[in-house]
Amino acid sequence: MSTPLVQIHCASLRSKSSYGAFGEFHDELIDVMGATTTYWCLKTMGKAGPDDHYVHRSVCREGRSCWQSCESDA
Amino acid sequence: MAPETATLEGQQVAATPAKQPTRTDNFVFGIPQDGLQTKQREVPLDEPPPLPPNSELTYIGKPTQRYDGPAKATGKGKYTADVQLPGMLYARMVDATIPHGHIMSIDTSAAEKLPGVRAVYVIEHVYGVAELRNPKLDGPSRYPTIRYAGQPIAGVAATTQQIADDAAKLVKVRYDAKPFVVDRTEARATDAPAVFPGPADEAGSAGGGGGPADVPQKGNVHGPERRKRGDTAKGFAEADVLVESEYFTQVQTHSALETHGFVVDWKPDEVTVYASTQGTSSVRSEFADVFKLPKSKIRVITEYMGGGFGAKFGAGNEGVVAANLSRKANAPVKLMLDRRQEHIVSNRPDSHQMLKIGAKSDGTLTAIQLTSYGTAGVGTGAGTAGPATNMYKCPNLLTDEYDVFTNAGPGAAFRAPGHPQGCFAFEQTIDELAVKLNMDPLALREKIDESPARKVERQLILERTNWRNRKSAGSDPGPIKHGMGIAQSVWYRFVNMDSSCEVRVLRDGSVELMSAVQDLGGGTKTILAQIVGEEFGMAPANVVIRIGDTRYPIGPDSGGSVTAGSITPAVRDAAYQAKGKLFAAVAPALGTTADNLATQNGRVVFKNDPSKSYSLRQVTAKLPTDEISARATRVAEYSKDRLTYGGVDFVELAVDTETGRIHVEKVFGAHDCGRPINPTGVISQINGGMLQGISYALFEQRIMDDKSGYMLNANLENYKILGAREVPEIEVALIENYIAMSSTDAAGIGESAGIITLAAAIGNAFYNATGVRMRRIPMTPANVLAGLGKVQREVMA
Repeated sequence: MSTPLVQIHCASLRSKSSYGAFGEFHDELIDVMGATTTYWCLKTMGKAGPDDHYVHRSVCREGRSCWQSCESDA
Repeated sequence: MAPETATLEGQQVAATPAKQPTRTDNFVFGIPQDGLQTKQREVPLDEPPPLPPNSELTYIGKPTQRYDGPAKATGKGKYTADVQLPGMLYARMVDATIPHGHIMSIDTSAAEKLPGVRAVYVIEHVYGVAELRNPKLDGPSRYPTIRYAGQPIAGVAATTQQIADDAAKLVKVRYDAKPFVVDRTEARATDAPAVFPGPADEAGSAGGGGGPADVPQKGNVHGPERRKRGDTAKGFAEADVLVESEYFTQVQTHSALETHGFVVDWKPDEVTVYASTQGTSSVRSEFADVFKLPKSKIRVITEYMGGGFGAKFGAGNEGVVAANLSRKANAPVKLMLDRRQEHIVSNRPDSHQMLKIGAKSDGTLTAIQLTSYGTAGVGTGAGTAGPATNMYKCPNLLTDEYDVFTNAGPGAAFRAPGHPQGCFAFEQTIDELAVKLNMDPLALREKIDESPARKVERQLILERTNWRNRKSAGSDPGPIKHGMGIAQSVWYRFVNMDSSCEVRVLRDGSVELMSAVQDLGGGTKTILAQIVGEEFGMAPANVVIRIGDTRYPIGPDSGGSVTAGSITPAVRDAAYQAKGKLFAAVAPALGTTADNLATQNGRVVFKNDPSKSYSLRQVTAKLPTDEISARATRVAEYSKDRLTYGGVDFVELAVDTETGRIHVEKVFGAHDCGRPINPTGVISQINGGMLQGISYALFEQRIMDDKSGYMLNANLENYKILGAREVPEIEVALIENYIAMSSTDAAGIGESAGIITLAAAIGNAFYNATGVRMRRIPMTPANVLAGLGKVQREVMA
């Protein structure tokens, strides 16, 4: 049976925790690091996205104009 | 149906694999001081047998000098900054000279004409399909909006570093400057210049996991990120005692010995990247994503690395600029940030924390409430709630963490992100509670702390320090006052499954280990050699360790103290499997079966006749092929139990109440990190963490000029770091804590190694010495005298 996937964050959102396979503990890692996590945008390599707004897991979600799907090549 | 898995930050989380066949093993478990126990675990069938305690092993757990120490000390070890390639160019980054505004034009012609300049690359705004959040305030521009002085703008590559430096100064940038704010308190004002001018955020549409979707933003304030447990109002109502406190911490900039930097050699067939990085894998991934290249065409090399402390992941602006310069010039390019730039690109955010703790008269905590504001400059990540949330049992908790945007260099992960700040406030407030309850601070923690390891560590403080002779607060006569204090730390166990390696055994008896994992300076190479050596019964110094190259099997990126706990089980598994292959291959020639062979005291022996034994070289000589090898990847944790690590640190100090100088005289730390593989290496990391903690507590501070928006002390002359004269007597007690979670039980120590606790322990000792609570770091003479009420404070934050 295939498992349905839901993409929550923009494919260009990065943090230190983006790298590595933390398996079933990934959500917990994100939660524990919580408000100490620093993010950057892979498109700009900076703290602002292409739309000039800040980068954070709370805002780099579907609906933002620069949102990128994991499946797109953009 | 709710989705079972989701993508997080662009990464796909794999579905749980099918259950593998397992066996039941008995593992050593617990802390020797408490009496070791046995723990049963289901483990995959091909896992090595459980290791006994360190006391029964030959190489693992034995103090071992780093094998690469001489190479580092003699300059033989080559760091990224040392890399020299034929035809290599040297680059310098051009950065912004204003803290906020738009770039109207960039004129690179003078730089390009300078003899020796081979390429100039300007960073341009990438729009794609993006719409600007507020086109009226931040109109479209060819270049990114400048939000802090020091923001990268361009790079210049030339035949010498001096020419590149000169050329960088010839790049003319014309700005349209805008109002800015660099002070956290001023940035919170409703009329403060907006760092990000867009409208307030609405909730994301996806939801369903992966962190908060509804973190509000108002002006420059992003937050709160709220964490709630129980009912704090009820908890405070039930309390016999309430303590309310307020603490301030400063911005600490990263000051690794080796600055951020890359050497990029862009060739059509392969891009070779020498990187000062904490993650060869993260660099390869970002180069692949940014330049749309397959990972197989990118090779990342980090043979030696001069420290990162959390700030060196991915490609970074400097990596992307170096790659573009290399591609443009058709030559390898070295781009290392200079020390000024290094101070600006990353930091530990500051904090203003307000705490309220309620407790019963016996010390039982009834409620904890924390509100914190911090600035990570143009970024986020200034949270501080880790210690308040995770150290002690308390049924009612409410934490609100706010990021305040300012026009200053961005925060980055920095050794135990948020925890030194949080601990400074929280562990002093716990001491304030002890004072109010008239309890010994150690006794209060004994009451509220459930960690078995820290219980043993507190006992060691009692047994091995002067704690029992601690006097009442401020009781020393005269201007020099002595005091003692303690503080505790907490950190978390995570493992990175992207941890693979290969072990090769050659016919001449040599053994090699290969993995892309990098050694930041913590001694990873040595612990890997100890593990392979233990499995083969050979001296670790004779094991050849080849790491830090993505041509080898993928290794874990080093952040959050995951390296030892992630890669060492894979290494042991590969060594065990290679040994099994070796025995199977040579057993017929030895006239026995593979299962009758074992390693013992450096020799291969017959189990049924220990009088028959051979050297490893005698055995490998019988290999039918020139080499055999085995590759292994980290298997899942043996248990889903969630674990934390920590330590208890004790400080003894003297305060000169006339000059405001603090002299830390002695630090004693008791720490745990699973099974220590190399106690010398672990203690060395703890020593470093303690020194960094003292430096944070007493000296380090970014100073911003609110008139120009510049960092005024972006150099190691004016940004004071602890020096040799300020190093106290240090003693470390290492706790073995067998956790039965993997084939090595190893864990990292980087985060919980003193950096979390020292500012709080010094603060508590300061109170014991003077009877005055230091609510602000760094505890410079000026801040100490202000704290003692002897001078007026000049700078408030």
